[in-house]
Amino acid sequence: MQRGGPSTGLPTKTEQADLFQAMYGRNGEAPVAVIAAYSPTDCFDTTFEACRLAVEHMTPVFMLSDGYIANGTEPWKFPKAESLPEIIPTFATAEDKADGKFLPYKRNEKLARKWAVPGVKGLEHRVGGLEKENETGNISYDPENHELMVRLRAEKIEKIADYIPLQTVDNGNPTGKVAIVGWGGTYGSIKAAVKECREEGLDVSHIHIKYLNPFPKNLGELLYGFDKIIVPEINRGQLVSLLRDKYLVPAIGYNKVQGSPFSIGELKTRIKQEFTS
Amino acid sequence: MENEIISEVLTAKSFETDQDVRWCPGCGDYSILKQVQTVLPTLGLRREEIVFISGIGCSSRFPYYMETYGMHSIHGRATAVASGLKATRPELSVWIITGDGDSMSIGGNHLIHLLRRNLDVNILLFNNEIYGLTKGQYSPTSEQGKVTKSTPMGSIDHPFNPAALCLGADSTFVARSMDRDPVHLRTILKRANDHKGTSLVEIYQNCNVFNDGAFEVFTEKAQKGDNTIFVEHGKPLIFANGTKGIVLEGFTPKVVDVNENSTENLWIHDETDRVKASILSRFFDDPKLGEALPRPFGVFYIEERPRYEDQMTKQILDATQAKGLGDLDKLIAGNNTWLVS
Repeated sequence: MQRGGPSTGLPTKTEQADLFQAMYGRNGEAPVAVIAAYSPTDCFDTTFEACRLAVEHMTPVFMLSDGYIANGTEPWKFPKAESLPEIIPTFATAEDKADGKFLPYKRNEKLARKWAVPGVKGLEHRVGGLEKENETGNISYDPENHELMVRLRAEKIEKIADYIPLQTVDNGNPTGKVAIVGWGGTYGSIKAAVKECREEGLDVSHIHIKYLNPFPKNLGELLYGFDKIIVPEINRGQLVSLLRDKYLVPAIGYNKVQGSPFSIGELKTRIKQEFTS
Repeated sequence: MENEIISEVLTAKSFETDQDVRWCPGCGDYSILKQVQTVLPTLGLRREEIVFISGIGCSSRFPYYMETYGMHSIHGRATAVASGLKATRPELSVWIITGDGDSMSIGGNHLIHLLRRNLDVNILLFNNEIYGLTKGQYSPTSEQGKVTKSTPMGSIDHPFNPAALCLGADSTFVARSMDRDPVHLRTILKRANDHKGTSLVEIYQNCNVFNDGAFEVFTEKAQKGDNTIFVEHGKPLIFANGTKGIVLEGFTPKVVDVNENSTENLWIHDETDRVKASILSRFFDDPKLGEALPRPFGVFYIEERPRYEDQMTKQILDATQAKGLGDLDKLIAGNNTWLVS
């Protein structure tokens, strides 16, 4: 739940300044999954999705929300429990032992390890913060093994991209002159601003990213289809940095850090700048 | 579960792993590991239902050497991880391995909250009064004036007294033992396991590299008689080979000559007496200063108090009986929703 920082900062006021912390705030290179809700109603689905990723891919997941979403309301038709997709944890069983030995750090096709829970006979094993040897899970200071494990942990997160939806365009054409790319609680303001600009005849599209790490597999291709990419954020430019870094696109930030959301007017003015010069 | 036959006969060896033990030669941790491995097969537990959870430090490598489920968790937070496990899986036998740095410094907060909640777990606090893993800085239990690498002119910190701290946090089982007395340690470990609640066992453990001899006045034959007292429930407080005893004058403990006093006047140890346990835990003088009360070992205090996991299970059961099984759809719908059409 992001609010104006740093520390206690601006309680109750909105900000989007913790994306970098979620992306990079760890010892060593150990990426985790990051997803963001875009509206009050989306919080349910996004939380459910965070749980699915955590359980099925055996990884911590950051689910980002912000003050604007938290203080917002909208009608929500809640789903029935039976309509929710099943979350399937992969538990290790005695059959997972090979040659009488259980390999707690063996990985499946998702590169996730199986859940071996206390109480199952024969699967006794130790986990912990020290670097582990691939597959056996023994403590290992071997240089080559460490590099392999660092890569495996990163690839495990990258693999999630195979199990999430492709990025769609919320409003507008899939290619064109200007794309407004947002994430999180700026959804409503961007949606309204883009809608009004399009009604005035401007070729502008709205892309809103829920999956921030890993990004959807088609995001790069989608961005390459636009002449200009504007990224409005309630911070000093975090998603814009990620996009530039990953896709080498000349994305431009539009930033405001005042504890308040963008107004539709502000966004329209900014969009129109791209069409007046 | 009790009726099933345990097919596997467990021995101390059943609990050894194939990992190299990485403690320094001569470390007191070896003795503690050995006593735990010796005691476990006598407790009627299956190997797969035992979990060792540790924090960070020399002692916290312990789980890697136990052929059970184990987690070498985060600094000071073994208590938190273990609380979560025990609350959700009350049938497991959960052991927390921690040291004086891990439990008294970064993990001090988690420790006291575990103690007041009284989950049925066993805490083995390896106290060597030094940060050993980081090569010899003063710890929260190092005595005042201690010269270490981080306190070249002597520590000005007043140390924690772990037994007194834990009694203050309403621990329901507080005991002290030592690495150098395997028989005593095994007895205390068994009693800790038998206790239905959080058991706190402080174990004096010699770090022969960075704090060698910290406890030798309590553990070595030549000096231990005068400086050490082993307390047992229902028995008088006698030490120095039976020549000295402790009497209570009001709330003040006094050392007396046993020959001049009949043993009836001596303090009779009562594990269930909180006030006396509290006085006992305050036998904490530095023996080097003279006139010190002997340092007590044994079970200081036991209290039967409802366990957190039992209360949690009961609360869920009561709620289920009163309101029926939970219905996610109803819960989400609440009482004041309507359909927009």
